[in-house]
Amino acid sequence: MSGLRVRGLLALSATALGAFYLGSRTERLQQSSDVFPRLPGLPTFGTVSAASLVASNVNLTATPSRISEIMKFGFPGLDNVRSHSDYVLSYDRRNRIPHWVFEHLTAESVAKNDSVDRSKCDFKPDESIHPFFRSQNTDYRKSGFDRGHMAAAGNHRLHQKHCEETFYLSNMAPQVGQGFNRDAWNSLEMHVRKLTKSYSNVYVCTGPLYLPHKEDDGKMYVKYEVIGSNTVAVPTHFYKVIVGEAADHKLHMEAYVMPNKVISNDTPLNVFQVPPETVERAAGLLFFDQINRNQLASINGRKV
Amino acid sequence: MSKRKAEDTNIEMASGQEKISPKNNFNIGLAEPLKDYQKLIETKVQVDEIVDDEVIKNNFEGIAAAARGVIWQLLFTGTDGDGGVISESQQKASELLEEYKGDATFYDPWEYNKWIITLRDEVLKKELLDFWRNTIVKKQLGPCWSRDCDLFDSDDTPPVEFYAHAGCTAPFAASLKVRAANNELRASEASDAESSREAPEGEERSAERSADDEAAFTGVFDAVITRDQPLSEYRDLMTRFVLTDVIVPDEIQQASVKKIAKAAQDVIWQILFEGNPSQEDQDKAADLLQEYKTDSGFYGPWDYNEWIVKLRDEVLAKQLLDFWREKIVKLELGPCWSRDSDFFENDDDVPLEFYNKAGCKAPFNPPADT
Repeated sequence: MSGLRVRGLLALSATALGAFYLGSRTERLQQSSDVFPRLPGLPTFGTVSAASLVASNVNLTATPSRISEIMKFGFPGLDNVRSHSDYVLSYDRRNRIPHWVFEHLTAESVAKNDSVDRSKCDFKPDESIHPFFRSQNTDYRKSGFDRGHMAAAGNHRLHQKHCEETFYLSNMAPQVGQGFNRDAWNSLEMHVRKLTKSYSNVYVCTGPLYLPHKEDDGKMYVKYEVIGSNTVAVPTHFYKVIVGEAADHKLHMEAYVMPNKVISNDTPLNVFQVPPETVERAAGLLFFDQINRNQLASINGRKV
Repeated sequence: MSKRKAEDTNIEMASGQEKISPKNNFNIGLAEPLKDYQKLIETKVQVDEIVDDEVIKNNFEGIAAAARGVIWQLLFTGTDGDGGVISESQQKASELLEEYKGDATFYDPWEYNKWIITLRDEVLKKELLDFWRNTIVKKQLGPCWSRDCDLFDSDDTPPVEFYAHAGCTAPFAASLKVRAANNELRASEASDAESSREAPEGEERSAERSADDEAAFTGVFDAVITRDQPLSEYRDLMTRFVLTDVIVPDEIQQASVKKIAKAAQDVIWQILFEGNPSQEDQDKAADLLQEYKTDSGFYGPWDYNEWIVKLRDEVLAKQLLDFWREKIVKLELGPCWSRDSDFFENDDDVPLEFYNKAGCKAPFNPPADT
């Protein structure tokens, strides 16, 4: 009797042990195949032209390593995130423009590059966006607004493909042209590029705001135009929140909010500097979430 | 990606397929070139349904090529004819050129920018100086740039040189000079300012909390309401210790509201039942009671609903029938319900009973479905 019981016990424990080891082995196997952490980015598919010589450090697809480099300091939000070869974007399907775009600039990536030809870049609808939520060139034509880049073309000069990918209409928002997109906003973009001279790495998040204003009845309203048959939202303001990483690894933050209207040419940029938390409140996003604000060396040029 | 995406795209694309037509199919006549051109753009380029971007691009290229051909023809053939015809065809060429440039700025400035130089050279060679001065220069029909096209920005070189022929200059040359001067000025100012940056005034709210905000945050304050100005004192307490912009832990805020409510109850009780309340006293009490009831409807009506029954019984026991009829009944100061508070819904009980005293009735009709 007791022999039978011992045999039964042995059989049971052997089965249990076997199952345990098999389970842990398959788990190990699964983990080793998953070397990269899962990232909430959907690479957009593009063909790579093999015709031109490519520098070895240029990614032409949205590789996980490049995305985590760009998003090093955290995602502002996770709605409809798309990654391109050199920038990451969160798309606002309701308003047909981005929530935010994130870029990582270096002196090299913003340097003039003769192998990148702007005239080959074309504003094109983003086929990866469902047709219901896609903006088209037709929406912008004769609307009185420019197709304004959120991720600026001039920030992505390592390769033609990087530049071309900034011309997807999913990276655009309606911007006042003369006096803003082509002037004051462009000055801000140039300022951000210039920061790569003082910092080895520059991270910048750019996006739209829809700010309320008080009307005659004393109440606050958010009011913004929508253009074209796809009712593309015209933001009231745009922001850029920037972090520069100095050679000594100290971090410096700048934050700007600019109204989407004609700004006179002699307005200095620092007029548009605001505390970063005001942008966060207005945008409903947290920028550079992984950095403790107390660890910053400076905010808007002032010591923390 | 959702399955629907592909299906929808196919359906919408199908309707766009017929828009494809070979490039050589775009005809712009010499009789009404502008109208022909506009119609082509409208039907083949400016379409609202989703059409493959390549198709639109090819269509525009084809139409643009046709437009360039017609402009060339209008300007450079038959210039030996009689003057009337020339000015008429120049007029047509001018209109079409202007329209075509407007579209080129949006769809494809590069092709235009190359071609307009050859056109200019031909115009100057044929000495069509009126057309040069009054159309190309005056209407700024030279290369597209950041002034008229969102494919350019202020980094790009303005096409000043294009216009510097036959004694002309670019119409925008002066404003560029002013801008350049401004930029230099600003650059020098900026370098001066770099070293001495001042904090922007009034941008940031001071980090220190005022004493009132501190009290609101901790809930440590004395709620005192006197008989003289009960309503304004009550409001003052609410404003200072409850309605702040500071984020206050919810239980502390609730305790503060309760504390102020208790003070309001006490002073109302005092006014009504310590001695004989004058008409003025009764008005004061009713004013505060009304305000207190409104706030209760928002912050939580349960205390009020319990206490108001006690108050009613005391009012009736003390024979303050004026106060009962004119204030409590008339102003609907009974228990909160779905009419005065979002704590209640339509299927909650209606406090009709409360008012059925001393010959009165509720001042409102019960909802029809009860």
